[in-house]
Amino acid sequence: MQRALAVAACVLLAAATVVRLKRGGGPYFERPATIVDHLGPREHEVHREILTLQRAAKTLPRCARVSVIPDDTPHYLTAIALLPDQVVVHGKADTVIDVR
Amino acid sequence: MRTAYAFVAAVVCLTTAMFWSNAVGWRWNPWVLLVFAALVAGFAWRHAPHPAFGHPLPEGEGVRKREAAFPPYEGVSRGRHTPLPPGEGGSRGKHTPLPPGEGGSRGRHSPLPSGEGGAKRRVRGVPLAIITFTLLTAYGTLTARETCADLLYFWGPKAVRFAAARGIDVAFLKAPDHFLMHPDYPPLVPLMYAWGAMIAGGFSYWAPLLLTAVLLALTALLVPGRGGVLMAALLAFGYAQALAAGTADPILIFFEVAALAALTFLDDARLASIALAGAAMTKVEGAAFVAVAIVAYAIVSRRPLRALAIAVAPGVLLGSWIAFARAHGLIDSYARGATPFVWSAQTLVSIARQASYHAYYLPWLAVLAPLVFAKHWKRAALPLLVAAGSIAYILFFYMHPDANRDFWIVVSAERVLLTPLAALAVAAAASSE
Repeated sequence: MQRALAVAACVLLAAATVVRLKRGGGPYFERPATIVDHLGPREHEVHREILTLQRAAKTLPRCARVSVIPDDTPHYLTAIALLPDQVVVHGKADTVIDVR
Repeated sequence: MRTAYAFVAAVVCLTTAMFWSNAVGWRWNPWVLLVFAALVAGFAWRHAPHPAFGHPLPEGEGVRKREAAFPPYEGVSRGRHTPLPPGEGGSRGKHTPLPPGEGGSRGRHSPLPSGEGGAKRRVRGVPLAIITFTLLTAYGTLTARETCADLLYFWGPKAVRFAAARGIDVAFLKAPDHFLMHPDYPPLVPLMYAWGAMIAGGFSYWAPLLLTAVLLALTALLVPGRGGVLMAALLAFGYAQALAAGTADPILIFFEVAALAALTFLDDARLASIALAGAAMTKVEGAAFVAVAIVAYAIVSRRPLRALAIAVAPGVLLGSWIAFARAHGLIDSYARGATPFVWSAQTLVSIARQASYHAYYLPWLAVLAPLVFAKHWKRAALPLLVAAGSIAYILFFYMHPDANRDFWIVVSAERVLLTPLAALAVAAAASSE
């Protein structure tokens, strides 16, 4: 009985995992552009910012002071994450990037 | 299992070396650290216990002695780890002495077809099932379906800055704009990611996502027999539903299960101590888990001095980090003890709602249903006590008023509750015949 229950539990958990992964939407077998591409039915709040900053990081000079619009917490922290060679600040900066 | 414990030792020793060397003013050399981690991993792998039997022992007498000390659990075949001489294969020692030539019998527990082939056939399904759940998680993480935003907001930036500074960047942690990254948060995860970034020449946000799948496999390998499959299934769903990939939670669960498995299946205090040290240095709630595990072990084993000895490594490591944070003015999370405890039924309801995992409480049912029919409750006493204790401290943390408490529960409860779930999965494995 215990073994049968454990097997049934594993099968149900596997099915629930597949359903949960499917909820992220397609395409299912393509390399995603960002690490937040399929987290839910709606676009993640920093999805566009990641794409923008990935491009910007290649052209911005080192140690440049950069800020992003909108200047809220998620976007600010994401900018810190994706611009390791620059100094990300709130408000006034050498370069202001609109990531909306 | 040996690989998993070697990984535990390597990660804890590597990050401790990084922290302590930086605390005395040295800058990190990733290649020296690589050699050090490889040596630790090799040493730990060499001396790690044999699955379900404790330390590797010679065939025959030694194995029987070990079996007497740690009764083996169903689904764990000695055959796959220590090939048996012809004619003696698979004997379960004192349970059922076998006539010569009848290798592979499991005695009265669950007879297998004669010969080693039976034993091999029985255990072959377990790694295959664990691999399947690992690949499912790898698919989910590498197609960006399980990412936790904290990787971008919290863990990743710290790792990038630490790697660039070749040390713990105190100025970065102290900056008022970075206060939301919790400057005094235990540093094991950023240190590990920073070391990877130094070795690779840059930080890839995909690497922590892939690591989540690797950790799932290693966590499952710590639990003997079919219990490992249940653990893999539980974590595969838990990580997908809670969006835990890339954060510290898979690493914390790994250390917690390593400690519980070391105490439950091996009664190995050294391994448990190292794993608990890792848990304490991974997340703030890791320290609470250490306290619960130590108290539970003292109660169950009735060896309070041994329990205290296990607490030495986590205590020294966490103490040194808190001292470092205090010396540099980084204290934040560890200074919140002054917040009053306020009982709230609404909070309880919110946590209960999140505990359903939007799947009708499936993870809870999956680990509790096998336990209902368990025949060896006593073996599961430690993980059951730890599960109860971890639920208690989770409720305690959430019962402290915070302006964003509801939001906090929604974004974290599913991840945090994986700790008691994992403890229950260990209990289910321990209680199985």
